[in-house]
Amino acid sequence: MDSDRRTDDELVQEFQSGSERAFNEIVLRHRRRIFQVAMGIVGNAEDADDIAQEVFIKSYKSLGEFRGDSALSTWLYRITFNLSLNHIRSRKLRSFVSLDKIAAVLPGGESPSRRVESVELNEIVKRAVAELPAKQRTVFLLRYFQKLSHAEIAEIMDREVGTIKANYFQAVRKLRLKLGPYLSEKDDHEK
Amino acid sequence: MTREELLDKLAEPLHLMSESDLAHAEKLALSDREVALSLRHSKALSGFEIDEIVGEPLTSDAEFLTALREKLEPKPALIDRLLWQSGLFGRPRLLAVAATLGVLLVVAVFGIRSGGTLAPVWWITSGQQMFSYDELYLEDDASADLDYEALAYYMDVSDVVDDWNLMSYEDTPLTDLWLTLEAESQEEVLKQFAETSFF
Repeated sequence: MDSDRRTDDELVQEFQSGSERAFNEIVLRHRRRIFQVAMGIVGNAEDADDIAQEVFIKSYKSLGEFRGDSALSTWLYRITFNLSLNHIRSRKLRSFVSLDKIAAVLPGGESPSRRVESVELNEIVKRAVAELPAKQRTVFLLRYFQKLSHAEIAEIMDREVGTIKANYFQAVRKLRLKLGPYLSEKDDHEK
Repeated sequence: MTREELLDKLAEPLHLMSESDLAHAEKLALSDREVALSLRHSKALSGFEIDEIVGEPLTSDAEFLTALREKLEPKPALIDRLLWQSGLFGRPRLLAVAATLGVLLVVAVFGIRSGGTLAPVWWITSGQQMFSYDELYLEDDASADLDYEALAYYMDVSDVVDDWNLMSYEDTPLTDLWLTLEAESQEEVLKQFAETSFF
């Protein structure tokens, strides 16, 4: 049977019937996104990889009791979110990347156009995202890049939908403020 | 759609906007600077992939899965391996362990019989062994002031006690006697030695 044609629900059912291969398929299908979510929160690739391992260890032990009340991906993201927060608490990491490091990379006193010339735009966006508070950053990444709905993010983060929306729009507003000059300059250059 | 609603939509990922909403935004952007900036930012951000923002996993799928499987399937405990391991060396190893345990049991039993020293009988010198037997078979009083007569009485062989007394050794070792030659004997030996010819 072609694994690509099977849905998450089918894979879960196969695993619950004793198929270890089905679990491998689940891992390969979701590990990248789980890494990205963890990375968005803890900001360290090694830690994010470790968290992804932990997520699948926990899910392996609990998947037998998974009833499918929510999507498998939502359930996995929720585990990821909780483990990532625990990780941050244990290491007392407050931000994705230290602000000092970001400030050191971004040169000051230059015009935005000069900065665009010296630093790639994706690096600027990356750093702007990194500077967001952890909650706003997580909501933004889940919404904008993982394409989850506000309701799904609320379920993952165990918050009200309104709170999630507020976090998201604050994140977008801050990004626009930070990226505005760079994006405008880039657009002008392209014209 | 109001202007505010349009601005909210432009804050969302661009792919969520319908064609008509997008057309409306582009039309409005010609006269509204804020809408124009929002549209520009939305288009720019939508051009990014998440890999570009947060990076990629450090490990390949195969490495990740292998590491995960190792954690999920820990190696069995030693006793389980000994009992259940199949293959060429499984049964001989099990027999070797059983034999070792048997030897240890025998050693422990003999150690207790040898007087509580926890050493097997064949490790004990003959003197220690006799002492051990005395300790084992005679009562405390008997072993405390042991003499041949009492022992013979205890063993109900009183008729041989005289023989045992005769078997007792001299206090002075025999070699010492040989070293204390009388003066006459010494002179006789020296005389014989002087008369002896070699070759």
